[in-house]
Amino acid sequence: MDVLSTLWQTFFDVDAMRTALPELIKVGLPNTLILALTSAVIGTVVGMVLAVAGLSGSRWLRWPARVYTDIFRGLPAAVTILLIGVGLSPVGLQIWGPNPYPLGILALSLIASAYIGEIFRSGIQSVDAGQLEAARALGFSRPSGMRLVVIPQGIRRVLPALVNQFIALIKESSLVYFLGLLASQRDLFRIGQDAAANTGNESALLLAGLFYLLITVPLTHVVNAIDRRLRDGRRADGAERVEDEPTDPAAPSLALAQEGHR
Amino acid sequence: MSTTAAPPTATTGVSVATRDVHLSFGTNHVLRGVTLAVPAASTTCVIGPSGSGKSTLLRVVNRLLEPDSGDVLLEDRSVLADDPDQLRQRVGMVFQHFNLFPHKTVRDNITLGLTRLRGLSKDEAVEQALAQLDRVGLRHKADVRPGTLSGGQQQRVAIARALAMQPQVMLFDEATSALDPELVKGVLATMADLASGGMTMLVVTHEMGFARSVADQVLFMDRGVVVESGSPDTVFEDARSDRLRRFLSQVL
Repeated sequence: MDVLSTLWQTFFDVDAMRTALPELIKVGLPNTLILALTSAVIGTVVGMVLAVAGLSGSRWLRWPARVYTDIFRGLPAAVTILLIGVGLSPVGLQIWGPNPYPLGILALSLIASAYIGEIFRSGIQSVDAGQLEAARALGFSRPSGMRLVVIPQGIRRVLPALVNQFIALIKESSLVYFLGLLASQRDLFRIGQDAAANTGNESALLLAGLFYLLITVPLTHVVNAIDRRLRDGRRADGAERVEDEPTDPAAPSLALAQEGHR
Repeated sequence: MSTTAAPPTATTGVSVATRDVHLSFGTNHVLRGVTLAVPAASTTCVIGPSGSGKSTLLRVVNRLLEPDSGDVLLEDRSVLADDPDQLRQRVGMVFQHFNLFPHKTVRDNITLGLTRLRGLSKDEAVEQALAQLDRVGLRHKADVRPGTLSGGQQQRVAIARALAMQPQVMLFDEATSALDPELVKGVLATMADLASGGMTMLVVTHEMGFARSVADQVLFMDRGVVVESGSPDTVFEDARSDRLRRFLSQVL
């Protein structure tokens, strides 16, 4: 019974939680959201550039995109964050002063963009070749057809995967603690961890974990809702919903031959 | 079907021709010297077994594919030096699988090219789109997405989308092959209306009845060349080559 009460004290010490709560709300939550949101926006923009470059006809665009993706998807997040955040800190100090956030956000964005680029690329590639062909047949150039017809459909298909990536980003943002944070710069994880270290029990960290769940769990439900919506749209009777191209076993082989022949 | 209403923006078709067109995909010599002439405001049907190069030929005419050699002419003038995007505004195309944009409503499928390429205002484009939908009897479907329509309706929207650009030539690539049998008739009727309205049409089709009744000229293609051509009566009743006779015996 002694063990059980110790465990209870370790995880559910209400006083410890109450002590940490104000800082978690006022400091940790905003900081985590700043890190995650900023890198999500940058990662999405860079990811789209990577996807388009990765699908380009020119090897001088395709190749760098490939290498970039392989590197930042292949490295452990901790390694990238330390290499960028610590390695570039002399530069960062010159530009932003003693604030680890810009470099932390840069590192998180680099990682996120590699994954997001692959997500966008697979989405764009899943769009039937007949769509671009139809756009071009109307008189659109290849780039306009991609921008107006193909890419919007591709993005729609990968929205669930994109949101999953945002969830991963929220969790990975905790790794910026590697870079050394001032008290006011601490994120949810760091505040929970500090409190746990001071009090000798994990209750504050558990509370920090609950904050993460508070953000990520609704997001997973958003993913599911989007997924369901897309599925509904695929049915002929899912009126007014987003449609997908009917899967077509006899996909226009000519268009494919043409792509390959380009 | 209310397809008899006079089109609000009827464009008279122009003549289209190819001269000795060759095209290979790697070692696959798909077109081996195709020469054809479609007089203005007439309909030519291209028939032949699958793999004979019919669809490839259509894509050379609007330069979705560039020929390795030979020439493509509109109104007796070569178009190979023109801007291909400009050319494609003059040459409408309808596909076997419709290729409507599934993320846009029926109306927006049609207005996209009008506002972005023709520079029409939003209102003008919508007016034009609705007029074209009237022509194919689908004005009431303007606000739905294509996925909610039957195949036949989708194909008629695709025809309306192509016509809205006011093309001078229309290409049809097996426009009814992907349709359920009961939906074929409506699409063929729309195409027949268009033909009698003065459009120049180059129609790749497996519908021999359509070719016989609507076409001014029928071309039989096999293995990348035009084997026989002539009036429907000549081609269907008086086949000279074994290849055409064999093909006809299989499809009729």
